[in-house]
Order: sequence, then structure tokens, then C-alpha cells
Amino acid sequence: MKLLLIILLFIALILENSITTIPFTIAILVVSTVIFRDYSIFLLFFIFGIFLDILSFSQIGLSSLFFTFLVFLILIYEKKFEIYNRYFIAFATALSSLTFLLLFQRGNVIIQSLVSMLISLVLFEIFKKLTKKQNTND
Amino acid sequence: MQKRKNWIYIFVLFLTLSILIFFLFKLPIFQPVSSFVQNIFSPVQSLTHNIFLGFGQNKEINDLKKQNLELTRKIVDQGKITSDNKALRDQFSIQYPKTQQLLEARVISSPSFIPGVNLPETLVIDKGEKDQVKKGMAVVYKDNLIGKIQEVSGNASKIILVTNSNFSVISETFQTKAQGVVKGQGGGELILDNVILSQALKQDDLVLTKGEGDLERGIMPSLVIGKILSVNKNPSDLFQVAKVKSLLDFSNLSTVFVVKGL
Repeated sequence: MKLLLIILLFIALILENSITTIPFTIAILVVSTVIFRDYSIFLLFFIFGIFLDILSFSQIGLSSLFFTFLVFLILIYEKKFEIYNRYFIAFATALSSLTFLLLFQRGNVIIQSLVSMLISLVLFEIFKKLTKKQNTND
Repeated sequence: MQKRKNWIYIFVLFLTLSILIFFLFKLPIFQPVSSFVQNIFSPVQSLTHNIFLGFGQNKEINDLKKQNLELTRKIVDQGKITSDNKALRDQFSIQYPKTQQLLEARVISSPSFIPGVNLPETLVIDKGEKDQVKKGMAVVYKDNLIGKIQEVSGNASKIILVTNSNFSVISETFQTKAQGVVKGQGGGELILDNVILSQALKQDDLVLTKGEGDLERGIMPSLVIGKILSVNKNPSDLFQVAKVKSLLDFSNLSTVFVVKGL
């Protein structure tokens, strides 16, 4: 599962820096944080944040900082809200994509946030099924 | 509770690391790290970009667009020949901009581009400081101005396109010689602004660069920016404004040329 996550992140990194600015990374981040809920997510997104900044000519460290905050916010509120559901995924992705796009001064923030939200919902369903399958096998 | 405490420790650790990276990467000694990562990803980015460009392109339309650009170039060349010293130009058929001034670069990404939603505002090319690319240099395709270099790293550079809302360049029209400032409006749009009312603006007239910058970097004169679509002239205004359309399709560019020196 983690390998799939890394592959997805690499694909997102390439796409975000070659053909579009839709924040695929944010969608993957929200879904993976909700699914895995472990420390490795911090490290993974910290590293990918650096890559993202280098390739997009942004100030290096800014995306890592944003990702770290986002993972922390999701994890800190897991006791207060039920985060393992599609409503939370949709809300968290849309809101964080919007903030990310505004922060990095990209255009078409609404459309891009909506696309990112849809991607996160699809990813969530896929990961949910994979987790279920893995649990059944175990 | 213990778990939550651990999250906080981990968060503080990565927060500190991110802040550290933020400041460390401002130092020039970390430039090779960025260049190294860009070097690794550059071929994949370029491949993805080119694959994506290949989708949904009509060959016939592309050929016509190329022919159109070629004809425009010929018109501008012709105009230069008649208005300048004819005898001298007849003796030396010049290519403009001169090929020795040009550095060929591949477009490896168009960061702010969403197909079907908006047009590119910036492009990233595979040439950087190592190829003597400098901030402010003009970028052309044939004799059409694409934009200028906005940021440079070791092996890549970012181009701000003429249509970007942060772009402006001094220009003049080809036929009427009206002078003004071309400003990008975002979304693929351009305007020719600051043209005084006494000067004439004509629909379909070409808008060319007037030339700006210093010897090493800058925008040379007579590069084609676009064609006038419509003119907005109001007697009570100080200036008249014209809508301009670039002759290039920025989303289809895969190779561009950096002008090294005026």
C-alpha cells in the first residue's frame, strides 16, 4: 500500500510540474493521512514537498511546511471528528487545495480545488477497498 | 493522549526541519541540490509535456498556423527592407534574430496550464545558468516574442509569457508606427495601452517590440507580439487601448529560443 502511495506521489509530482497545477499531492496527502494515520506520512510529504518546490521554482520548504501543518491538523482532529468518511475527505481536500492554490498564487482556484476533491474521493474509495482486502487476507 | 503528544513532537520536528530548509535553500551552496533534482526530473517532465501536447492536435490546423507565422514573418521582413536602407539589406540577406544570438531550449513544463480551462501563463525550459541564460532575456519562436526569462536556476529557467498579467513591453505598430505598452491580461489576452489619441491604431495591424533593456539582456526591436483585434478610442480618455492577439499558440510550444544579447 505504501509503495502504491509513493508511486502515486511520483506521478502527481510529474503531472503537477509538467502539464497542470491541479494539486494532486494535496488529494493524496489527505487520503493517505486518513487511511494510514502514522508518523511516516510526515516524512513522506516533507520530502515530496521539497521536490515539488524545486521543480515548480517555488521557495523551497514552503510546500513541506504547508504539508506538515496539514497532516498535523488532520491527525490532531481525528479524535474530535469522524475523519474516515468521504465527507471529511471532500471537505478537507477542497479547503486545503483552495488554501494551497491561493498561497502559491495559482489561477482557477475553485475549479482546481473541485477537481482535486473529486480525485481524493476516488482515491479514498480505492484505498478503502485495498485496506479491506488486505485485512481479509490477514 | 500519549499518541496525540507524539503527533505534536513529530509535528514540531518536521516544522523545524521545514523552516530550516526554507532558509538553507536560500544560500547559493544549495543550488547544486536543486539543479541535481531538476536534472533528474527534466527528461520525464519533458516527455510528459510532449506526450500531452500530442493529444488532440489537428495536423492540418498546425500546418496552417505554421504557414501563417511564416507569412507574418515575411511581411515584417519586407517592411523592414523597404523602410530601412534598401541597398544595404539587398546585399546582406539577414535572418532576424541572428541565429548566433539564439539558444535553443525545450519546454519541459507549463506550470499554470489546465487544458480546456486556461492557457499557460509561464513556461519552464531546460536551459539555465549553465547555458548563460540570464533573467530578463527575451524568448522567441521564429521572430515572435514569447516572453522573457523570469527566474533562472542551474539547468532550467522560467519564462513569463507575454500574456501573463505581470508582463509588459514597449511596442509600436507596424503600419501606423503608433507607440504604446503591450500588457498581458492573463487568460491568453493582451492589450496595447498608453497610445496617445493623436496616433492611429488600425485593426489587423501587427504590433512589434520597440526594443528595451541593455546589451546583455533585453528585448530586441521588431519582434512580433501580435495582431490588433479591436481598438477602443474614447475622446475623453487620455490614451486609446487596443486588444491584441498573439499569433502563437503557447500551449503547443515544445521548442523555443532564448535571445542572448541584443
